[in-house]
Amino acid sequence: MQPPPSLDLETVQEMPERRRAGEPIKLVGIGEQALRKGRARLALTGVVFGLAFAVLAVRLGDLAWPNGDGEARPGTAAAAISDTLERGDIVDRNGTLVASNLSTVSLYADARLIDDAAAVAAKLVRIMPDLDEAAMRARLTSGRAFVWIKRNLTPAEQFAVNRLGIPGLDFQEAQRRIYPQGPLLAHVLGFTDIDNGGIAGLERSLDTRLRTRRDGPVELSIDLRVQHAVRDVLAASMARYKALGAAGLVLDATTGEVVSMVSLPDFDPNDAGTASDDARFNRITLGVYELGSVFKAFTVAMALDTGTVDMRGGYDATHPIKVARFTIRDDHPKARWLSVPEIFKYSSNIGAAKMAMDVGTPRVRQFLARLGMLTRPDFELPETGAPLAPSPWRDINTMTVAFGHGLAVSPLQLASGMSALVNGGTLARPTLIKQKTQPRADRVISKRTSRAMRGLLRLVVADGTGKQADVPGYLVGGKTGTAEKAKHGGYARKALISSFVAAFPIKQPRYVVYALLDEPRGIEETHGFRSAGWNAAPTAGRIIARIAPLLGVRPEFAPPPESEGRMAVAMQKGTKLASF
Amino acid sequence: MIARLTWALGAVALALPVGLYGLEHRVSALEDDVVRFEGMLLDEQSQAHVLRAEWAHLNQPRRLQELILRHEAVLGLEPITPAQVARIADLPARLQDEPSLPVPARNPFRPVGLTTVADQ
Repeated sequence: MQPPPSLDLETVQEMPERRRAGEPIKLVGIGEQALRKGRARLALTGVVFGLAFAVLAVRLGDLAWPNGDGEARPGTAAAAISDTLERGDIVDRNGTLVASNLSTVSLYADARLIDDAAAVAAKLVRIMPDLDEAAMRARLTSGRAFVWIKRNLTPAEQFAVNRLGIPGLDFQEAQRRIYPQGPLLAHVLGFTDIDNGGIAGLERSLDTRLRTRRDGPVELSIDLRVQHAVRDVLAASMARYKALGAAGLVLDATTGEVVSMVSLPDFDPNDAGTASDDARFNRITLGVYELGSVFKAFTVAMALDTGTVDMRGGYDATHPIKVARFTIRDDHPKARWLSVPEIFKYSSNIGAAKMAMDVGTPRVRQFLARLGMLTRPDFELPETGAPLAPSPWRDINTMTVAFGHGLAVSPLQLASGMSALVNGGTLARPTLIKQKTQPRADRVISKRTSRAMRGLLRLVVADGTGKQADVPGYLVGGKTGTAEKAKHGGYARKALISSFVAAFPIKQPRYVVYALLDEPRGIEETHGFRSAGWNAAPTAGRIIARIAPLLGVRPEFAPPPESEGRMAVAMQKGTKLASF
Repeated sequence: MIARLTWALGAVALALPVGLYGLEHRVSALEDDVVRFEGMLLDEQSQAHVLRAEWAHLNQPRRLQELILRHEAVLGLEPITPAQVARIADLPARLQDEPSLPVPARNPFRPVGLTTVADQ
């Protein structure tokens, strides 16, 4: 502590006789000492007070300054409803809500406070008739502090229970997952358990994303309008052909986005507990089938791409092929030499088998692997089935796989592979999530082969088994496939999987459409036939007619100009022009 | 000099707490507003959220289709067909000399006996 500077001790001297005005009083002796002490104490006190006030001033400034630890909190974001939801929303590609969380109240009871359990149970059942009165009475007499009465009450029920005024009954607010679109997206979305945990479909595979991230809803690649149109047409076809089930898939040919995915029968994810196993089964991704002749598209593409045969080449399909105990024969035998387009158009098993054998087993396997036919597809749904490939793979397997038997793949794999055949030869991973940019796509066949395949697929619809899939205005190309279901170690002759894979507009395909009917029956309208050309092909045609305007695909009614739209197809006699 | 400084400091010392108190009061009032508005915002958002879900539920394509079929006689709506899709450029050229429409001398829909300024 310093002595106060204002004190001038040197001026304190002997007291003079007379003091001039203004001069400091000078004391001597004891007086002088007391004065010194007093001044020193005063200075000390002044310093202490000065310091205290300095501290106060600093603290005051600190409090007043806005970014201190005071109460001011500039820049806090306003609370958002999405922060209060336990699970994020899911919307379709146009932003329509397809899954969300809503707050609901659930009724519970403190059984210790319930006096007359029988009367309370009776009153509750009168309000909520779906409750089991006996079970309710048992629960209310259990003496436990917490028993559920009913989850997710309607506001009217809540009001009625409140009006009873029974002590011991109370409400708990909880969130419930709702699916406003009902069964429309059942197999895509899946469902959640009672505690809002995803247990099927995207709800399961995106569980962490939906629980933790709050940066907007998950955007699906699905277009709800298309989804409904596909489901509507499939349901009508399923009823018309008395099929056990039906499935449809619409794939963006270049991005791999799934625009629509329907599997019938389906279920309501709002009430998934009551759904049967058959309804929960996703025929598009989980079901693997030997899809039959649609596979010939891959056989022809691989033969053309590897160069073992060209469009003007062909094979002799006069006699069935006998290998070991199997005989490969044609369903509609022409019993003559067939050109490559003819083999495809008439769906010749013999021709396809010979074509594949020329390519050779290792290259066939390599090609199918490149198209993703031999491995479980990398897809967002947990319900994605692995293909069943022959093991060991002998030459006979190469022959049967050439016309779609012996290798079971999911419709998703088939449509995805088909998109690569028609889109110019690149394969993109199929996805259920809306893609903002063109995703990575690997080249699997040459552009030239892809162009040839488009011509061949158009040929089938213009002048082959797929005639009924034609839609005026949209040049559709496609391939039928009728396969017998593998049952009890053999094939069931009457239980068929009939399917049609189509691409449109075939000049530059934007979408691949796949339609499948599970065990369709022959009806009067189809003259008793149950093959794909009679049921799956017209179904695919109706789907295209319905969805193409929705998807903004411009129809073309004038015949395409000679130079770009026509393909010379070598036929046995002379040259035939197949327009596409 | 010192006296004047003392008076000035005294005045500042008096004014500061009063001003600060007023400021703090206003800030706390504003903060109450913020809390209230955030609550209101949350309420509105949650209502909008419920309405959005309801909108999606009521606009289920299947439901709309059922309604349209039920009221087919009145609405006469059908799915769009490929023939109905066209580009503006594909439309036929507009007629050069559009025939002028005959214009009635008087508005035929006006009730008899009613006259307006324009009629006089």
